[in-house]
Amino acid sequence: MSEAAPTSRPGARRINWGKRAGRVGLALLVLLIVAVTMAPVYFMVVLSVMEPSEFFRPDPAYFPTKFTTQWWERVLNSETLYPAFTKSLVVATVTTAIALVISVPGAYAISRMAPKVKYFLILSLFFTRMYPEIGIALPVAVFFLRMGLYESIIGLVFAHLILVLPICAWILVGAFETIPRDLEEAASVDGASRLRTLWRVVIPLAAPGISVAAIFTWLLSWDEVTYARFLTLLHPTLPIQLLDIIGRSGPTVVATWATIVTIPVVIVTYLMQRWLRADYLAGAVKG
Amino acid sequence: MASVAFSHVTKAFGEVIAVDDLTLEIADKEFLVLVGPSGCGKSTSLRLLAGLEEVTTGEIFIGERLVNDVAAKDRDIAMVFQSYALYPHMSVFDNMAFALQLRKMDKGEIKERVQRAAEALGIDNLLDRKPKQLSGGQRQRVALGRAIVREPAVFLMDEPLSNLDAKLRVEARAMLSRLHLQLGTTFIYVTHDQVEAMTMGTRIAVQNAGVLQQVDTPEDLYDHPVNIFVAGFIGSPAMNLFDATLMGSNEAIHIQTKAFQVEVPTQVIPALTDHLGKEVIFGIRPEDIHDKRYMPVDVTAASFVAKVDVIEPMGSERYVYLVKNGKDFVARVDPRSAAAVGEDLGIALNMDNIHLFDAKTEEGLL
Ligand SMILES: Nc1ncnc2c1ncn2[C@@H]1O[C@H](COP(=O)(O)OP(=O)(O)OP(=O)(O)O)[C@@H](O)[C@H]1O
Ligand SMILES: [Mg+2]
Repeated sequence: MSEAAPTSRPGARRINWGKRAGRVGLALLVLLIVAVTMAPVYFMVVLSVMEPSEFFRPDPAYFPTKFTTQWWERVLNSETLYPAFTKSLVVATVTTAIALVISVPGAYAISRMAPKVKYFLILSLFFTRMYPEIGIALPVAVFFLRMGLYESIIGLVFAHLILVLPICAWILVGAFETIPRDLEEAASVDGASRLRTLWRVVIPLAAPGISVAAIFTWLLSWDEVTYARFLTLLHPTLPIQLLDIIGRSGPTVVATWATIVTIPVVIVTYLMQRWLRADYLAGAVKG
Repeated sequence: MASVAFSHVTKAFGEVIAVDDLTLEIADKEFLVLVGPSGCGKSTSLRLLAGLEEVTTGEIFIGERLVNDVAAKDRDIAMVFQSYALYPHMSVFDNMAFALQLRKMDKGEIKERVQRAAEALGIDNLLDRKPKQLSGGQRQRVALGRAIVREPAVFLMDEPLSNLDAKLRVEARAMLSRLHLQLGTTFIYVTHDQVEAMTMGTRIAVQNAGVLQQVDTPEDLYDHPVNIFVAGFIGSPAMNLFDATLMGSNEAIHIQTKAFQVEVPTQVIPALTDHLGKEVIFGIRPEDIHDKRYMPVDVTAASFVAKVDVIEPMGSERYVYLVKNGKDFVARVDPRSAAAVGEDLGIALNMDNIHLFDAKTEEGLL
């Protein structure tokens, strides 16, 4: 948000109470939204460091005073954590990388097509997602079994690509559409080929959109469970492991696992957010 | 450095014919200005030449080379976009160096060329900035700079000054004219501002509704417009136009309008005898209507009296809006004129500079 434009003439200094009240109201609203969205995260993290005595009682403490690291020690020493964590990390990262490599040029091409063709293509991207995953997960698993892709990282990556490609491409088409054509035309008059224009002009300018697509793709793959459940058995991914734990452990241990699942999400989002800048196109066109 | 030729070029966007059978030759080193009202196909003509649009029919040559099938990047053309189209993620230096880097030019040479162009444009202190840190006028210079460093065969500019305020625009006009002299490159310049056209062009091409109307030097275009459109478009305030009929005989012809009747000079009679009794449009520019008292002596004058409606003093001259029998027109009179609003003023038309057009075809008769 930019600063509010000065409405009063110099000299005529009046305090606009209505506007002030509006600002305070807005701030309170923002605070409320943050509180509501952050509350589960708060309880999850707090739960993972709570003394059992604080929790195992009729009225568990909202703001505990006694902490312990025992749940963390237990989970971090668990043999199942690291393989699952690594597998999920590799799958999500490779999926994101491949999804971007495929959908950046694809989405760019789509974004430059005639409007009718464009909307047809975008719609058909989503047709591929209209069936429930649970319905095709089993056939896919059978197919992968035959191909020798069962349990493998690459198999899961393929499955996740089915899931993420349409959404990734859709976000990117939107991102590329905001880039003025003039800039590409200027580049071609300057002597740049299509590919070089994409690389030197379009992609740098679409960085915010590309990072949104990347975050989104990564998150989708990171906590995906349907395909993962069908396609892995002996070497589960982290969310599958978590599901498993939910059935077998107490709330504090589950909260610890859940926190571990969440931490990379925060890190990835933080790393990507420096590309999320609103004024990326400022100064390109017009005066 | 090259000439440019359009040969029967037509461009259609579906139903819309943006450029209609354009044939136009532009000499090497010429400063050609393309003018016309909004939507007349100026930008499209330029974009066809730049290779940003494909011709529907016809041929385009740059120098001797037929470029119909040559990609924009290989046409050796530099273009200044109306929107400037600066690369927002690059510094001013990189914006200007981009084309040279693509040509794999030696780093030192790139630096030198950019520096030279930046100095010529007075932006050498801005090279490290990003476009968003520049004012409108500075951005416009960077856009020019990006074109200049290329040393291209042809410069194309699509209303490069339209985003500038009046004062900057006057400065930029002078700068562009100077640049043209310095660089000795062919310039093709699109504008809908006829003042820009008249002050900068070595020749002006007037376009209307996709059709080229006339190509001439500014003086010829002003003095001898080929049709009513050009007559009305070039000149400010615009030429006064009157519905009229040609009356008389082969010896003496007069122009009869609702407001007045004036006799044509004898030297133009031969050109008009075929049109006796026919409807015509009579045109006279504001500066050819004088306060009778300050009429130059060596011209053929036709005088009558009209009522003064509005006066606009402009310093060195004054515009007087006159009414006669319900028809209004404007005169640019000598500043000494004592014309006063509401009074009758004796005026004299300089009949040596009259324009007559066929009322049906709208073509010039003289
Ligand atoms: N890509 C396009 N698709 C369809 N019609 C177009 C396209 N580009 C231009 N036109 C049409 O072609 C005609 C000429 O457009 P052009 O942009 O060349 O006009 P112009 O003379 O540059 O006008 P202005 O002074 O407003 O810039 C207009 O009627 C316009 O609507
Ligand atoms: Mg235009």
